[in-house]
Amino acid sequence: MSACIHCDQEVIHAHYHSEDGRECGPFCCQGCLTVFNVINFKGLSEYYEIKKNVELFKKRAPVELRSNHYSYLDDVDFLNEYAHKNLHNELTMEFYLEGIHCAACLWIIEKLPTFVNGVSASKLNMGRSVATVSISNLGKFSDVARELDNIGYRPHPLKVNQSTKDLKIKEERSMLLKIGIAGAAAGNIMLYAVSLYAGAGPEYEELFNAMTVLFALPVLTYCSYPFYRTSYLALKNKTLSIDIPIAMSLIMGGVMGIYNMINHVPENYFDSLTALVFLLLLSRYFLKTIQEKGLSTTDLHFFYQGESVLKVDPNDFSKNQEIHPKFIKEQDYLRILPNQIIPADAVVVSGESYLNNSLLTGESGLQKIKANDHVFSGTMNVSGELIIKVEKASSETRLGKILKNVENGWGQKAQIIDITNLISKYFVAAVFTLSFILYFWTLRHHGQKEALELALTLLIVTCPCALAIATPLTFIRTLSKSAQKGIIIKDDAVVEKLSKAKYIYIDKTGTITQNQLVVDQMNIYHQTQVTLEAVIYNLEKHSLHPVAMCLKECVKISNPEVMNVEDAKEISGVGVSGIINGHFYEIKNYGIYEDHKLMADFHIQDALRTDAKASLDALRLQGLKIQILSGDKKENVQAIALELGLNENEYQAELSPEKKSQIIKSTPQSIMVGDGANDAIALASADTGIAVFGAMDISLRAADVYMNYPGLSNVAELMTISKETMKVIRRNLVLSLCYNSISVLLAYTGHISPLTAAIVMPVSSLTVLISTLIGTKTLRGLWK
Amino acid sequence: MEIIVFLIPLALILGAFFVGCFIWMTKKGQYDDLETPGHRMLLDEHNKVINNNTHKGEL
Amino acid sequence: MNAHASTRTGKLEYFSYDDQIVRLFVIATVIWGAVALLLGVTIAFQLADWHVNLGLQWTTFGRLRPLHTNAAIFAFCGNAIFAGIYYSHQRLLKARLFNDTLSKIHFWGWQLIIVSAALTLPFGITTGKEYAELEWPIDIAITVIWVVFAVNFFGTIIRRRERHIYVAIWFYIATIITVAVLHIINSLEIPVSIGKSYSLYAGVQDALVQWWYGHNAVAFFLTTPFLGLMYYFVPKAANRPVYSYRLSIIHFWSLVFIYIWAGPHHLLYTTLPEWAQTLGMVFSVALWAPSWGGMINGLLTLRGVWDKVRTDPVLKFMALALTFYGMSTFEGPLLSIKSVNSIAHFTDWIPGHVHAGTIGWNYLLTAGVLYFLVPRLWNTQIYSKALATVQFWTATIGIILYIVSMWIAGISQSLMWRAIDASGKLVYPNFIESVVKIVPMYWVRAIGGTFVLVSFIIMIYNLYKTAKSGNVGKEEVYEAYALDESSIEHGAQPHRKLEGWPMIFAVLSLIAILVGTAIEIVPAVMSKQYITKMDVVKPYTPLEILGRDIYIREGCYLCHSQTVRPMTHEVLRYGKASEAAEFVYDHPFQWGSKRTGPDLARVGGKYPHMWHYRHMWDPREVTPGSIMPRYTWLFTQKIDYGSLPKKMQVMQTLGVPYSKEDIDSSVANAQAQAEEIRTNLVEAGVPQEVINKEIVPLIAYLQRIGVDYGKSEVTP
Repeated sequence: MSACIHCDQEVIHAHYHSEDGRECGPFCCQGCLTVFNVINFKGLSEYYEIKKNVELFKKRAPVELRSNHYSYLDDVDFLNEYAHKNLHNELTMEFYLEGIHCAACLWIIEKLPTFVNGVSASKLNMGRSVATVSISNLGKFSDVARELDNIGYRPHPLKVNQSTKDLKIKEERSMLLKIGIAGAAAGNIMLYAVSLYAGAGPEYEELFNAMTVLFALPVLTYCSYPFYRTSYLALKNKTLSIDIPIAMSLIMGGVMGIYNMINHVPENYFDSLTALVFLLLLSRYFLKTIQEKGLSTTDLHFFYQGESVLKVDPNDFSKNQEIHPKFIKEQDYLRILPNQIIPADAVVVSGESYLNNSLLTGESGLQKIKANDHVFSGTMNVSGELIIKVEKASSETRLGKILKNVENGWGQKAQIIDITNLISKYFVAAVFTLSFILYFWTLRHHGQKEALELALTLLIVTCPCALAIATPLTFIRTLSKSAQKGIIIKDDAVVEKLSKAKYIYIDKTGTITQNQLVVDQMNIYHQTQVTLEAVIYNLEKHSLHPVAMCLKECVKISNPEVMNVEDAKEISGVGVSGIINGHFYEIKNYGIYEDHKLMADFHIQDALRTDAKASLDALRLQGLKIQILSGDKKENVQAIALELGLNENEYQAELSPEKKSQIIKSTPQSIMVGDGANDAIALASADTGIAVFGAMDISLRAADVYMNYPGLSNVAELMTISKETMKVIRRNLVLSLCYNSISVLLAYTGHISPLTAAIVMPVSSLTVLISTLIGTKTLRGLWK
Repeated sequence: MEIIVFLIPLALILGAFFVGCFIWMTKKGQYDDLETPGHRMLLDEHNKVINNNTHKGEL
Repeated sequence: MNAHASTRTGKLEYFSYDDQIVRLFVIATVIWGAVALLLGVTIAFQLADWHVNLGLQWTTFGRLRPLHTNAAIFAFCGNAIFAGIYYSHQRLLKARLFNDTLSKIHFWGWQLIIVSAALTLPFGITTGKEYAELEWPIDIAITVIWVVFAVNFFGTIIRRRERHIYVAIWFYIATIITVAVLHIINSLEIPVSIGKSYSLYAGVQDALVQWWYGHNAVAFFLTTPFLGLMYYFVPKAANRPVYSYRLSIIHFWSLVFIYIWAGPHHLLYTTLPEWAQTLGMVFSVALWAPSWGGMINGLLTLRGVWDKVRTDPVLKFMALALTFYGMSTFEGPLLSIKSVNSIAHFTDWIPGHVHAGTIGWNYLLTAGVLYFLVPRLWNTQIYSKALATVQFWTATIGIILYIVSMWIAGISQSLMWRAIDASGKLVYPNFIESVVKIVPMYWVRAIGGTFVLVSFIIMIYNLYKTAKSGNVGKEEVYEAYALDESSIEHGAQPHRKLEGWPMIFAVLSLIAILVGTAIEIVPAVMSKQYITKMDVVKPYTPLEILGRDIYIREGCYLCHSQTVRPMTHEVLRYGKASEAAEFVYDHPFQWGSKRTGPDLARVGGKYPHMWHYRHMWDPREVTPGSIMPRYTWLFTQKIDYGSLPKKMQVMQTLGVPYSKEDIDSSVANAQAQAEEIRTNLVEAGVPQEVINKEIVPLIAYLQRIGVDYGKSEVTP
């Protein structure tokens, strides 16, 4: 199997490009071929040299051919919102680019200035697939976007909220700084601590001890600030957080160390403490970066919004102006082209067409609309071209309302306390009580000083490294590994919820089915004079009716000869008719007639995904109770259910979005899988919402997990991963608790010296880290 | 072993210098994007000017 | 590119890279590499058969060994580093080197230094500190050239057109700074004459500084710069971005903060305080993590191109180099664990370990880099991949022979040294037994070395033909935006104002500060230095000083240690374990790091003068089977009494308690002591004129080593 020159996908139907006789290719599709030509035409063929050699960085899809006008990018009020000035005072905009996949992309994107007029500079961040482009006063962003599109990177302007962005950068930097400083200090402290443990002569003790204190101060103040902050907040909300004991240990340790120094006692835990801070910060940093990586790929809400719309002059429909949907106002007249999603609730002014409501309602059937009908934003215009008059824009629309519910839905999400928090709560409580007991006990038997010392020691040595480091680390591995498999998990809590799930609710349209009509059976009763294909093709040639569409689609393969049709008619709602070679043919209500005689009939249905059955069985094996929730008509759902061999109580039909979410709310430990806006609320109210490939932005925002591949295929695997992950985490918890109980014992028997503490703490963290890295057999298998 | 008295400040100065570098570089945003540089360095030969006579003057 | 309409075209800058200097350094690299390896092979054979010493003083092991190490480290690796750095530095920063003249000064200056090393070391002009044998004038030259390099390097950073400073450059920076510091601190010495100086530090302190330097020379001359090269050339050759750039950043910073302190592991079981040893050990073990982090990062960069690794010489060498890096960075920490170290130290295992690094990591990586550079610098293709493959396997066989033979040698030595029978006596009381036993291994090593040399010559031929087939061509013109032009992210500030000159200033001032601290603190240190003094330990007599200088000149410390570790078998074999206080007058210390011959810490008074006389004339007269060369010239060359007063003065300034009259009467005293030894020798039937020959002071010194404390009743 050869790979497409442009997108490196397997080529099924090869396209070739021939110039002056030389053939080059293969290409997987026309799109890739076109882009190939454009790139060569611009004298950028070096692109392919580079791509040939370098490794693919991300998988990319074939180029979709689409004519986008991006003229709305030059709109003044658009610029005001989306562009900023760079330090040369030039307009600068950020674009999310589809299809960034290797160093060659980097090369060609940063070459923009050399082949796009007026571009003064352009920079690409490969991790985020975001290009920053500056233009001179000669330049236009529409040109930039068009060129980007032409060379195969579909651009989506990013609204950069500077204040938040700067904040984010600042946070990241300060985090790095804290890590760096903590690391350096820990290293240096180790130097003196080790010397002291190794018994550096008394002449050095004081000096070295002072050095450790010196180094520890910035770590215990500046670097540890986050822990203090979180624990402060926790206390303010009267909750217990894992950071509290950490913060405590740090403060106590610091106090004790300095107190000792003042009393010329060369003894402190700064080596362990600083190392702890360093490790904690490091693990949190990585967890954060990985989560953000995931988010940047799921944060696609501009995909839906990004489509520009044509605003028409009310008086002269031939006058069009392209605008960004954000700027649609009530009473605007819009031109809606076939296969365009309707951007606002509106009334049809002129034109006829069919609407696909599935995204909004889950119905797979099509709704016929004509003038004065009402259309809702989020529905797809299938066939004809429409002029509509906007009644409600943005948040007022039905879509907008659902969106609101979704956002509330977040709040309502049934909160299960995850095991780590639970444990850490008990843990914190336990440690504190224990140290108090110890304190008073020693106070009675020995005295103030010893009592204080022992209590502090206990607090410090029982510092929950494992809880605080190993757990995040495990999640880091899981999140990143599943991200590589195209499963983006929004945050680590999800993993545990998944592992606990008992019920899985699945939306039909787009999840189990492909959400496109196909002729699933055709019964031929008699041979027609003209081949059936020819009849169908020639009669339906000009029809935009969805049924016509899929009929044509199904006969296209046997490319039927084009014939002349006399007095061809299309009676809307009924069908088409015409005379070919003297025979009168009709296609109406799912039948094909020759001279009024039924020759054949056919059935049309939303096609089942190939992997649907297998995936459902896999999920059953996971011990999940499956139920299909659909907004579609009962019979359609039944048909599907039959095909999948589901029994009566395993599916429900004709559910409103609200009803769906009610059902789900009523069952805890539930997963919802869906794509449409009608699933959004359900996704939000489920313990875990999984949005599948091609889902609408709303559902993406509502979901906790986003599948980069269509269908259910990956859900089962996701379940396994999450279960295994939790196994590892529990193991770690057990390990670390063992260690801590040992250290408690030592503390109570008063056997703890700085040396033993210095050994016990790292050893404990080390073992859990190792146990994490080893993971479990199945996990390793999955991660291969 | 008084040499230690001498080596310690030495280590301090060196360490301080490198920590300084680290802080400086972070603040200058050197570490904001830790993905792209790895790729960009592969392209260092790909900014050649094809016909280089034209630019001799500017060298 | 087609003419572009961007309005900032004007700000698009055109520049070219200075590849001529890279070519020069490449050529120097191969030439000096051959020299270094040739010397290595020579001394390897000298150990296998003493005749190879040729009976000439300029070609004896003691004189050639420093030449070999210096040539390998500073000439071969040095030039390789400069070539790689100058090539990658320009490209990573999209800027021509700061100043072509500086580059030239750097190049010719460095070659001059190497030549002068070659012209001094064989003549016994040495400081007697391992890897830092070059005398003070050359040390100064090195410092100057290094600063030139620094200015050129940082100047380029200022002129850069690429905002991000790639991780490789950070490794280079660490190298430049640290090497400067190490070199200056360790080379602090007071000149006696143009060709002679005494180390500022004595005994234990000298040892600590020396190995702090010695270890970090390995760390920052043979490791960090090559890691930098690895981070540039491996991705380039594999056309893959480094496996994890994040990891590489962490790798760098962690390495920088740990490496500097691993030094003391070279002094385990010496009289260095216990805790300092443990410290060294802990940090050496800690080093294992970042080292392997780096190795893994490098190897994983090759994932998915292993097919290329089989065919492409560049990747082939780099992959193997990384593997050896992994191996020796694992062996290193292992060796620094006290128990292991007690076995391996002073044996041939250590040279084995060192060469696993230098040949396996430095040579092979350099080979990879050269195969990458030469075709590009001479616009052509590699002459013969087949030859490269031959070279690859020859080298591999060579290294393996080397390492394995040294393992065997080292372990069998160690076992024989420490073997004690039931009655508590040494099983092999005569050291020579352990020597004779491993001579076969020396042959294997020498053969292994020859393989490596051959492989290198193959490379030279291959590279020569490659360069011949190509042409230098005229400099390519590159285009890039000025630094600020390309920084368009929000909040990006203009750069030049902030960095630039301040940066170079910061660096230079750092070095200045360090020198300052050194100058300020050292005297303070010195003045307090005799707290740990023992009354029985007295300064050397004038004649002994002369003898000691001969001892240093002939590089005895390269085969004979001067420190008895507190272990039963060593005490049994040599005598009382060494004490820190014994060495307070040793400028420089002569502990050595290898026992090809027996330890000499307690040799004083062990044999009669005559024994030494005969031994130096022909070692085999007194110890059959000895592999020590003959030192016949000591019996013809006259004693240089003239230098004595100056030497004594320097010693005095260094804190050795010589009185004024000690210095004034130094020559007289020396001659008097010489007279005694002569009478003793003459009684034994030696010709009269021995009186003014160098053998006399040498005997005087040998008879003095370790006597004061060794023979005294004092116990620690």
